[in-house]
Amino acid sequence: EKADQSKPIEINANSGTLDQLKGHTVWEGNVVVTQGTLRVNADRVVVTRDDKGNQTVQATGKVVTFRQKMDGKDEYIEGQASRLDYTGITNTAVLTGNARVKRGEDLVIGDVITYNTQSQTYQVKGGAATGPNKGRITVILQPQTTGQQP
Amino acid sequence: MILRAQRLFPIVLLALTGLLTFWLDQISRWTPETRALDPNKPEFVAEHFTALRYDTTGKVQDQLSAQRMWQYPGKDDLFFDAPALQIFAAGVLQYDVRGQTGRYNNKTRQAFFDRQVTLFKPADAQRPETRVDTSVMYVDLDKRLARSAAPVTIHYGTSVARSVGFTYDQRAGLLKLLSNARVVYAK
Repeated sequence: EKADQSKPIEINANSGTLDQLKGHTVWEGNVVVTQGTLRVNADRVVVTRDDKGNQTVQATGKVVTFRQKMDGKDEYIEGQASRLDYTGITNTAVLTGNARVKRGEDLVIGDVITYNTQSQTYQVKGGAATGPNKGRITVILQPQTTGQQP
Repeated sequence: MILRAQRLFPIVLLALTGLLTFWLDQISRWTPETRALDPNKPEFVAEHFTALRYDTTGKVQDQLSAQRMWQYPGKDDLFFDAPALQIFAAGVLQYDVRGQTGRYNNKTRQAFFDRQVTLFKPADAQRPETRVDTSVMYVDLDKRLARSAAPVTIHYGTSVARSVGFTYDQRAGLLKLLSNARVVYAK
C-alpha cells in the first residue's frame, strides 16, 4: 500500500552488525523486514542509509520472498527471487535471479523483475539466453470473470 | 692456679661483652606486630574522586570518576559507587560509560559496570548520537572495546535496536548485536 512508505522499517534477525565507518548495517539469520504491509524474508539483509536518511535494502538468501497488500484491495502482491534490492527514494524493488511475482491470480516469471511499490507496476526481463529461462519471460494472466475490472 | 685465672680473665670478659651486645641488640630490635588486615574490609576508601590519564600530547585520554571508591587488601580491583568513565581521542569525548556500581583493574585495564549501565557516544559530523542501555558492561580501555551478554537497547539517532548481547569496537566503528536482534528505523 502507498501508506507503507511513511511507516517505519522494522527488522528482526538472529544477529546484526552496525558498521559506523561504512554507514551500513548487516542483519543475518532468519531476517524479517516489515514496513507497514510490506514484508520481506531473507537470510541476509544489508541496510544502507545516506546522510539524508534515504534507505536502500539489499536482501539475499536461498530464496528471498516479499509480500505487500495492494492499495484499496484486500489482495496481496507476492514475489520471490535470489536477491532483492529495495530503494526507498524511488520505491523500487528489483528482484534478481529466478524471479517470480504473483498479483492476485496473475503470475510473472523472469530473470529480473523490477517492481514499483508506489505505482504497484512491474517490468520483467528474461535475462541471458543461457539462463534458466532461456532469456524468456513467462506471464500467466487469469481470465477476468465477467463484470470484474482488471 | 692464679696464673691460669689471669690468662682466662680476658677471654671470659670478651665472651661476656659479646653476650651483652647480642642481648642488647635483641631487646632493642622492635619488630612491629603486623596483624593481617581483614580481607573483607576495604584497606582504603576515597570519596568523590576523579582520576585523569593523559596522552603523549598532554590531552586527556581517560577520565574515571566516582562517588566512592575502595580497595580490599591485596586485591588489584578498585570498586566504585556511581562510576563514570570517559574516553577521549585527541581531547574529544568518544564515549562515556556510567553505572550504579562498578570495578576497575589497573593491571588489566578492564572496567566493569553494573546495574543501569549507559554507554553514550555523542553525535559527530557523520553520525547521530548513540546510546546503549543495559544492566552489565565490560570495557577494555586498551583495546577500546565494550561488550555485554545481557539484553541491550540501543538508540542510534531516531532508530531503536534491541538484542541480547552486544560488542562495540570503537576504533573499527563496529557495533555487533549478538542475538535476537531487532531494529526499528523511524522515518
